[in-house]
Amino acid sequence: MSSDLGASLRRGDRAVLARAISVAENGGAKAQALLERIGPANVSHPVVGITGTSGAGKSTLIDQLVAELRARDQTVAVVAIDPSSPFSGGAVLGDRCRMNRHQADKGVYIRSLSARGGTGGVSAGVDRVIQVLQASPFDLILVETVGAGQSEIDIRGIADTCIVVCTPNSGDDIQAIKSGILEIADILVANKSDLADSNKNVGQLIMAQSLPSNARPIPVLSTIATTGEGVDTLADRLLELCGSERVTGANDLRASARRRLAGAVARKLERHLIDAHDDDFEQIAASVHRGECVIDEAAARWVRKVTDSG
Amino acid sequence: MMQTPPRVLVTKIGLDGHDRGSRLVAAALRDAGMEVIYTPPWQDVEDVVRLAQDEDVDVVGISSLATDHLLVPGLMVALKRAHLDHVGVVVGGIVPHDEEALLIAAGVSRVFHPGSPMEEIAREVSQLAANARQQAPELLD
Amino acid sequence: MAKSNTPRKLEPDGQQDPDRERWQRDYQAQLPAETPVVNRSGIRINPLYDETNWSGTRYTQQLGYPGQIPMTRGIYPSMHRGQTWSQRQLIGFGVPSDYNARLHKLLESGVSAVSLIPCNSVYRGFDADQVPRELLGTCGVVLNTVDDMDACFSGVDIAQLSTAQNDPSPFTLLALLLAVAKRRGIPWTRITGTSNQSDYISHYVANHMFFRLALPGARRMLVDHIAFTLEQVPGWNPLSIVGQHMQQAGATPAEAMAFTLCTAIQYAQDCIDRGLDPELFFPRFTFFFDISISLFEEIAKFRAGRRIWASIVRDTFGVKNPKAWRFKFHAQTSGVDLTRQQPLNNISRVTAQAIAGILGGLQSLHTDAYDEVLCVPTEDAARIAINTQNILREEAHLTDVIDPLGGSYYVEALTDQMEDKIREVMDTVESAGGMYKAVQEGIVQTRIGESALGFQRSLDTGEQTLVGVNAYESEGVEPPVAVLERPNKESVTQYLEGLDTYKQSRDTPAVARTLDGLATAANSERQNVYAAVVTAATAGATHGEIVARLREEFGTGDPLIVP
Repeated sequence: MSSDLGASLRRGDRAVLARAISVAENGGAKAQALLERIGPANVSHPVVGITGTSGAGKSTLIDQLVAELRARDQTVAVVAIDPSSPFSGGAVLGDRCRMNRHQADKGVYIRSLSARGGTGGVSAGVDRVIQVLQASPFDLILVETVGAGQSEIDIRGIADTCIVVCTPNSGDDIQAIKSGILEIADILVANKSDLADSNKNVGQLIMAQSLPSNARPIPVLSTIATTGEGVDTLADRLLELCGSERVTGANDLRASARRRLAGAVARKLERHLIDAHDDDFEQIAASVHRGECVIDEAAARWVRKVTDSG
Repeated sequence: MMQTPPRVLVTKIGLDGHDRGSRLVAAALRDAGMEVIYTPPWQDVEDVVRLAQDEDVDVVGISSLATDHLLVPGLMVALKRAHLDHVGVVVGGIVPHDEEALLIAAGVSRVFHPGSPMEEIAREVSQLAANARQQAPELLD
Repeated sequence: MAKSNTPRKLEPDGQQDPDRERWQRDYQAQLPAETPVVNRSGIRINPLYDETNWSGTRYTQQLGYPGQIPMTRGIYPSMHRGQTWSQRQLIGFGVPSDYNARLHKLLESGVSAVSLIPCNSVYRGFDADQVPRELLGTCGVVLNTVDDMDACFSGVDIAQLSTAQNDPSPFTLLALLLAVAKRRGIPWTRITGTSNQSDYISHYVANHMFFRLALPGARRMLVDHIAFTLEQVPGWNPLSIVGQHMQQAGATPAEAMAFTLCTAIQYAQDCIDRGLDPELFFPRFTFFFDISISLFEEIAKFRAGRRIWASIVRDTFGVKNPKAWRFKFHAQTSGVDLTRQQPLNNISRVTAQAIAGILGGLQSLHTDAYDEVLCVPTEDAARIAINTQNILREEAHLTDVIDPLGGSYYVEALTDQMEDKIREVMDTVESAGGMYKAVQEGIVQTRIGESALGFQRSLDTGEQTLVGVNAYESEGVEPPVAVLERPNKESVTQYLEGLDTYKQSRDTPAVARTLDGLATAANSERQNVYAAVVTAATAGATHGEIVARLREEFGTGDPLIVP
């Protein structure tokens, strides 16, 4: 079976896909072996990151977006990531509750992942999971990240195109502007546009773009995810962006790969820190505490040690 | 001990829609370190098999009321047909003795009655997940 | 907006009563380190209440007389002394002939009001031939056609009987009942009862099984249903707003009351937007609550609810008709408090819950049988449940005095505090734009889920005792096994054959036309969709056919699941 693993995936074998995703997510030697066996992807399906604060309506929006994409004959894989409990490491993964109507559609694959302690909204194994999905025939890969707060910058490291979802309530939009989250967006979605302040919300988002740090204007779309209003436009815009020169042009591909590599490196280190509880770390920490070395130097020392040991 | 957290599907089949119990069990399993894939009620047997496969779970937990559990033997057959018979299956709900025996004979590992302590449920499910992992066919040989 | 009750000092010069101080010291000496006692709604409960907690100086504003604003003490001048609460027991099992047999037995025992509980397949909107056979008739009666309804009430004069049917949107069971009335030559004006479970919001939130049509469609159906019955079935209560599901799903008593009142406000607004007259529709609003075993909390909950509702209808909506200010409610003892272990304890529990409901001033009561957790109640258990009510009324004399706890320092202080809590929760819903919007967002569901988890934790830690389960367990005694009565296999087979014959022998084109008419009405701006439902039922359409057609037009209801 393993010799034609890549072929099974490319053929769309879901049983193989599901298990391959687990192996990839769990990392280690088996994941390495799996990815080698699959080989590099000869086609790159667009990876779309969808992020925003919790309560912005991301899952509901994705549910509608998937319907629109299916109506445009696109097959879709959705990776839905939920936060893990900092106490137990476990997680309740319930995003697919809002996407239940796609349950039986063979053109849709939904996988629920736990952030497994990752702090940036994206888990360490997600990169590998996406590599596996790239080997399968889904036209688009949507990744929904943890809406934990304003630290969703990480999604840029794995996605080609980023959708950031905001709502008019609780100063979401202002927070978004302040935290710089707008800078990672390729499309801004102002959801729940039926609520009172929504015009103000969209206005602020457009205005925020005239800040000097922004090089190009980003489309701002209004939606009401619960009814589906505005999602057809979103689907069209998204497919436009995914197929456009800007994304598939050589320079941008390199930039995209660079970003993804940076993200993967950061996550690898983070994983080490989460998993490692060894004496060296404790000793270095003790040195810092005693004032024997500055924290920057300690961090560098630690990184050297970790990378040396692989 | 498992290296990576057990993955458990918590779902409902049949007609009932009460989910207070299944929600509480999901939270308890999370607090015991497991990853719980939680779904809306009214899943068909085929839906459950697809969910178990797509999410590559170790254990399937069915929350049942009324006679919904009578559909579980059909589920066990469908899981076997999909080469998922290594996956542990548990049922929680109001199940009379003779029907409990029916479920166990069909391959259900355990039936939890109302009032079962959460730690007991978590412990058993964790054990079943470990067994499932051991018995699961290897992807890479 | 919250009305709080500030404690008063007894002595005008600010000095505390020396006797009270002495009691406090003595109490402290006996119990130096005590964990605070907090009720389910999160209100701290003191060991003693006196005039410093509540004094009766504002009797007219805070209590009033029964039947008068502020309504705290009761909605009628004579309450249970004048007319005892209705004993309305739930029945439903098997096939229509089974229901009919049980109905006759009940009528012989003297009840004048019955419920009808349909099968889970009916709740899900299906006809019996659309679901696996093993799921039929175990928890309610299978009832799909006008012939079935006729059979359920065979030999019974429906003009003399008040029927409460568990009949969610699009209310096909009432439509079938009206079709039977037509058949029997009984004018619709003589049909009385209630559309139990007409509250689609409570289903969306907490009793998913009953939720059949997508929200906007359900919203339209309810107002059409109210408009239709107001005009054509004036003896019928089209609306029962349900707090029971939310409380059973884990909402605290204060939350359950708050969410229910917010739902009622939402429906009232929808009716007003339609152009219906509040003076006419408010008197037809009824409520349905859970009664938990937190005895005083429940009494306070009902008293506070009654007071808040009167003020909402009279002051917020400006309704002049005093009948409209009445908070009429049916209540059921909570099955969630009952245990499988040592089930006879449930008799004691149901008794305590029933006392709470009676002293809280309900209009109608269902007491659970002790074996409710295990099965559809056996006859013996059902009899004990009814006799519990008889004993409380006739031996314990609970009906001799109206609102006997009125004026109690504790109960009045707690009623005020519950009112504050309830209003606080209501404010969160109103600031989300009202109940309809709040439930679409999932705000209500999330809060209920958190309360459920909180309660479970208190059970897990033992902070809340559950006799026979986490305390006072019987060593080595196996809890009794569930005895699930199954409908007779033969009867189910016969039923299915009958359904098939029925469908074959109808005037199929006529039925099809009415179903098309139903679709047209659903897509129109102004046509009353419920009138079209009744037309279809009268022409012979089945329950499943009507629901399916409306699902096509309005969309199938998908409750928001918040894990």
